[in-house]
Amino acid sequence: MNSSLMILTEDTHGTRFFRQLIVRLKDEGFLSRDIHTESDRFGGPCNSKLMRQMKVMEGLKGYNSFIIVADADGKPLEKVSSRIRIHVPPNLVDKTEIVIFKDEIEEWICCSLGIKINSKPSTILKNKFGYEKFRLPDYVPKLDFAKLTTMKSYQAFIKKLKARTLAR
Amino acid sequence: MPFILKEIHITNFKSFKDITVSLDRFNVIIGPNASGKTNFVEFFKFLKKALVERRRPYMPLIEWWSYHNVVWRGQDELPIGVEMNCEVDGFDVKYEVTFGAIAGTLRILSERLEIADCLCLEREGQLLKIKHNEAFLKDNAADIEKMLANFSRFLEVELRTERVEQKSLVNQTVNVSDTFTNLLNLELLELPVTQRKISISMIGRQYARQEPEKDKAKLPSGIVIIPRKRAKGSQDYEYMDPLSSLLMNLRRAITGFTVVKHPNMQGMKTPSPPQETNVLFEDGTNLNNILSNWMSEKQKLPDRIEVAMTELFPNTQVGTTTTAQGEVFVKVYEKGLELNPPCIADGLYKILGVLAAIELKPSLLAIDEIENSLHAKALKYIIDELRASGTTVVLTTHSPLVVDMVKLEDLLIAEKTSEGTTLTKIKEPEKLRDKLAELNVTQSESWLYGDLKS
Repeated sequence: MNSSLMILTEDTHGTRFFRQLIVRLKDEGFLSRDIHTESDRFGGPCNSKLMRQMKVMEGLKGYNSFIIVADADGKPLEKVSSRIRIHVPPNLVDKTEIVIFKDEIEEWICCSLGIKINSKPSTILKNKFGYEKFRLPDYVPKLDFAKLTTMKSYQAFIKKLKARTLAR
Repeated sequence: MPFILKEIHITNFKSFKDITVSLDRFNVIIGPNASGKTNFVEFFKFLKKALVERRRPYMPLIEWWSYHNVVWRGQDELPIGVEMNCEVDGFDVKYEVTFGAIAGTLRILSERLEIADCLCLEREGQLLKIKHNEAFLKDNAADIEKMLANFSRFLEVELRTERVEQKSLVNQTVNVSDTFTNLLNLELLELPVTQRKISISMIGRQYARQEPEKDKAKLPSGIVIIPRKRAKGSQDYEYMDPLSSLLMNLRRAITGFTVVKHPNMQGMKTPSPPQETNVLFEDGTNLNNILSNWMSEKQKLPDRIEVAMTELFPNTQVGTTTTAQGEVFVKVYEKGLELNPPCIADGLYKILGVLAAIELKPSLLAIDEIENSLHAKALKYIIDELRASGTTVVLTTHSPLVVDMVKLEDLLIAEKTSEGTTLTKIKEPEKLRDKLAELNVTQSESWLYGDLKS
């Protein structure tokens, strides 16, 4: 079976961001070009539509592994993770990884640009650069993978990406 | 954004007898037909027309025909009231207004503007009461005394006021007949001070220096003192005292309330004569002008719109052009094929309209039945854009899709009761989320087949 990975994010711009990130990871050799990777939006933690969505993606579109990315928004990371896990179809539990950001994906941008995170990352970026969410994918080329290795969420993402892409 | 609306209390407007609604930055109203969802959206339009509309003659009720059709159960004798709790220029502000119909015309009956822990302005008829918080005056007594002493000559000689004693600042009454139409238009004269912590202004004396000597003493006179502070992003009018700036930003905020109802597709597709415009009309019929103005300025549409078009309509370019008569209209190129308005999808117009409304950075954006004309993918995109816009957004919807795209915390459930429309938030969203997970049902299923409130 061909490898195909679906990355599910909580909002449209996150989906666009991960689509760009995957292109860069493939271009820079972090990820095999043979793995078909897509990104889509899901309804957020604790939404039972996730189960139907994943069933369709597996059964009709052929995705055989999943990474689900979500923001903790100040809640305990494990609690958010478990609220997602309960909606993963039982047959896909072993094929699914969950990555939770302490705040939000913008923490990667702050870290890459050497900006200290002392409040909500997107607010820091807005105040500094007039950042707006639709510009999120524009920051993919600015991500500094070396600096990001200090971030738990990045470590988790790469570890889980490798786990999913090397699993087959 | 120097204005954030946190809570609104409405009395006697259409189906609202007496409701208080706490607003977050993103709010989605759901409920059956005729439950009052659209009335909530319309209230913002009413407020804008009643308080800041500059059209003459002043006829804010014209689209509702008369006061009878906007007041609770057509009871003309009842006043319509609003209390907005908001943040303006970093101040916590409560602004209350009551309206009534006098000889068939809408009139402001009373107004009250309270700046937390500092100042309250109450206007009833021609009398304006100025009340300062005693603790605030006490905390700043030394500075106030110094400023009043320093400028006593200015006050007494140039403006012909009597010497102002600190104790008189707690309660003052000023006759403001014909001075202004409502508190938002109040004009003040800031005393020339260098005090950084507080600002002292006078009400009713702004033209004193131009008045003949004998008339100066007859002018109304009141003193207002407020702290100096600025919220990030506020309009900083250096020539303006903080209270004038606050009032101007409140007025600008109400002017910036944007209501989008059902788009008039025929109107949107008809070429329009060029005109300056900075608020999207309710039916979207000035979209051609808004887009054309952007194209003239920068030879391209704003990035927000370009990005969305690339994502939702790949291989499509959107721009504007003009007819031989100089009227402007939207033009689309799909893989090189030129499409004129009659060939452009309604959904594309709707998306352009909503994105343009966001890009114009309204103080509040209320959209009725957001789902109309939109495919699920486009709807997801638009919902995410609205949520991330930073503007206070109020949506109404009948769509289960939308209910499943938003958080339980975003929902306001509309119900029509004998006491009028109620708008209720889900009390314990965490608990409900757990229950829905246990039952393995979606938010929309719970709404359609059960009861989200319980």
